[in-house]
Amino acid sequence: MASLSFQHVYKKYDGGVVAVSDFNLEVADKEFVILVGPSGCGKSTTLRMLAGLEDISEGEIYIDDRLINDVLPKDRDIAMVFQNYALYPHMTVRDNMAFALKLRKMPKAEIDRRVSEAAKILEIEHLLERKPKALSGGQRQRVALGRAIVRDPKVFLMDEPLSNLDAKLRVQMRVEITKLHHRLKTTFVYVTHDQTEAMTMGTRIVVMKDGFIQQVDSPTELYDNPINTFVAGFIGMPPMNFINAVINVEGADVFISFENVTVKLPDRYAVEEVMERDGQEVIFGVRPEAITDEATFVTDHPETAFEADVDVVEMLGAETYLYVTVNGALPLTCRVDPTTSQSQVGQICDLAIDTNRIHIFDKDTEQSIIS
Amino acid sequence: MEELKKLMRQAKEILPYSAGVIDLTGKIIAATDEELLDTTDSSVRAVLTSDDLFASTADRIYYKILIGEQPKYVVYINSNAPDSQVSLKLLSEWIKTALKEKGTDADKIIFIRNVLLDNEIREEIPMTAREFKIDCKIPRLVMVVRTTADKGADALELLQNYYTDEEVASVIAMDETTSIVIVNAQEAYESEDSRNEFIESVSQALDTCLTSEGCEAHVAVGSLVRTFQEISKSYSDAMTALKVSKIFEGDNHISRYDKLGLGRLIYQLPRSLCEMFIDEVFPDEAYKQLDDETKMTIETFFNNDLNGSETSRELFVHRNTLVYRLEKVKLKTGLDLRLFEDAVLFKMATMVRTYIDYLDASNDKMIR
Repeated sequence: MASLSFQHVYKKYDGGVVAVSDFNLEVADKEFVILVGPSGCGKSTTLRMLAGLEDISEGEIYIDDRLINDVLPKDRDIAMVFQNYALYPHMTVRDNMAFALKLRKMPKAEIDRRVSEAAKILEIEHLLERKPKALSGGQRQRVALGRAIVRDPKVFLMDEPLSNLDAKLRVQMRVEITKLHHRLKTTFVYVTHDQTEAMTMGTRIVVMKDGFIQQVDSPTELYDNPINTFVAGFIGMPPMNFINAVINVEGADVFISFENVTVKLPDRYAVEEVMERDGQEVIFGVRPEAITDEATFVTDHPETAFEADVDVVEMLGAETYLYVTVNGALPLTCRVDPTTSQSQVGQICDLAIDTNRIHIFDKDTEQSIIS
Repeated sequence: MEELKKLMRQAKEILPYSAGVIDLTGKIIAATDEELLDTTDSSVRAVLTSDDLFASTADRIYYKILIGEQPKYVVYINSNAPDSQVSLKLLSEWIKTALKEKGTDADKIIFIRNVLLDNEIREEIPMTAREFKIDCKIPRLVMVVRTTADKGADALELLQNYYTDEEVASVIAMDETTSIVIVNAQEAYESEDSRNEFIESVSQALDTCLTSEGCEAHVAVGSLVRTFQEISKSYSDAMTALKVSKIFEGDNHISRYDKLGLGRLIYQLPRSLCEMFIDEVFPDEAYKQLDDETKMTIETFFNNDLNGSETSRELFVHRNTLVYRLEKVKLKTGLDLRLFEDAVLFKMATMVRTYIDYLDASNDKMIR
C-alpha cells in the first residue's frame, strides 16, 4: 500500500525535447489513477519515470515518503504490466509467475504460497502447469497480471495493457482489472490513450497534452466540467460539438448566437465573466446528448430550438446518432432517443439544446469561461 | 579463487575437520575456517618437494593436486585420524573435478565467442563443438542484448537466471555492455508460419523480462540459422539490426534483422548517392525549413497511412489545420504528401537525411 507524490517533475531529452513539464500530482493510497491523453502527451514517460526506467530530469517522485529518484527500479517495490506483455515461452505458467520471486531468492514455500494465491484470485489454478503456447489470449493476459500480483508490490503500474487485445476481450479485461483493484486494495497507476478505459476504470483521471497536465478530476467531473476545449473534446464519444458563437447581452438576459440561431442561456450565465463578453466571439460547447429532437422538449423550449438538415442517421439500438447541418454550414452530432426520434435522412428536423448542459470557452485561451 | 572459496564453504557443511587449499607459495587461499585465509603454511615447501602425493605434519595432512604433471595446489585437513586421509583424497578429487569443469566452461565460452566472431575454421567447428557437447544440427537464433555499462553485469545475471537450461538457450557476455543469447530454434521450423511467431515470442519475452526487472536494454534479433556453424551470420545480422535501428527507429526496444525494411537498404547506400538524392528531393535544404510541429504532423500522417481523419483525431487538431499544415509542406518542398508517390519520396528522403546526419555525427566523434 502506498501513496505517490510527483513534485515539479520534468523529463527533458537531449536535443531539447521536453516530454513532461512541471508534473505535480498526489496519489492517495489505494487509488486507481489513470493517465490519459493522445500519443506523445508524456503519459508513458511519466509512468516510466515512476518505474525507474527513465531518469527524472528535474523534480522529485516519492513513494510513501521515500524519495525514489535515485532508487534502483528493482528496489522501488512496484510491478508493471505493459502493452507488449509477453509470457516467457519456455516456462510453465507457474514458473512465469514465480520467476521474479526466484530472482529475489525468496524461499520456495513462500513462492508457492504467493503463486497459488494469485492463481486463485485470477482463476487460473488449472493452468499452472501449461506452457504459454497452450493458453488463449485472455488466459495469457491473466498470467501477465499474475506475474505482477505475486510480487505483492506497493504500486501497480500498467502501460496500455489492453491495447493488443481484441475489442471483446478488452471489455472483459477492463472489468477484471477493476475487480482486481477492489480485491487487492493497492495503488494502481494506469496509462491509456483510450478515454473509455479511463472513464470506466479510474477513480481519478489525469488528462495530459504535450507533456502538461490539463485537468485532474473524477470521471464525472471531467465529463461535466471540462476545464478547456481539449479535455472537453477528448472525453466523451461522440466528442463534444464546438461551435463558433457570439455572446449577446440584452438587459439581464444572455443569448448566444451562431449560424442565424439564437439560444437564450439560463440565468446562471448572467454573471460577470459572461456579461463582459457582450458582442465577443466564444466557443460554444454542446455534448451530443444535450441536443434533442424529442417533440415535447422542443415545444417546451422554444428559446433554444432551431432547425437542421439531417445528413445521416446511425441507429445503435439503445441510442441513435444524428449527423445534421445547421444553415447548410455547421455540422453537429446529436445523440437522441430512438424510441422518440422521428428524424429521417434528407428531412429537416426540429432540435433544441438542453442549456443546463452546455459549456462556454474563451475563443483565444480555449479555457472554460465559467466553472 | 572465488570458486575454491565457494567449494570450501560447501565442504564446511560436510567435513568434520578444518580444511583448506594452499597455493605454491604456501599461502592459504581458501579454507573452511576463513580466519586462516592469507596466512602462510611453511610446511608446504617440503610437501611440494616430496615424491609422494600425501604428506603429514603433527596436526595436518596434505595432498598435492596435479594438473597434468605439475602441482597446482596443496589441499590440507587438520587431523591425523585414521579416516582423514580418505576424506582428504575425496576432497582433493572433488576440487580437481570442479576446477576441470570450470576450465571446460571457460573454454566453451571462448569457443562459442570465436564461432560468433567467425574466428574458427568452419570445417573444424563440429569437431570442437562435440567436445563441448554442442549439437551442431539444431537451428538457432542469436539475440544481442545491449545495455549501458553500469547495467551490463545486472543484465547478464538476469539473462543467466532467465535461461537456466542450455537446451533452451545459452548466454554469454561479449563485453561489459553486450550479452549474447543463442536460442535453440527447433520450434521455429515446425511450419513456415511459426518462424515469425517464434522470433516475436522469444524477443518480446526477453524484452519483457528485462524491463520488468527494471533493466533498460535494447534487444537486437539476428536471422534464423539452421546449424551451429552459421551462428556468426545470425550474430552479424543482429549487430546490423542494432546499428540500423539506432539510426532509423529511435527508442524501439526490439530490432529484428528481418524487419529493418527501408532502413537496411539505405544503410548500404554510399554517401555520395545519398547526398545526390537529397539534393534532388529537397533542393535548397527545404527539409530544414520544416519546424518540429510540421515534422510530427507528417510522421503521424504517415503512421496513419495518409488518412487525414485519423491523423487529425490523433493529433487533436481540426482537419482543416491538418490540411493547412500539409499545404505548407507542399509550398516548402514541392511534395504533396496526400499523393502516394510524393509521400513515398518524402519518406525515403527523410530516412536518407537521417542517415546522412548519423554519418556526420559518427565522423565528428572520430575526429574528436
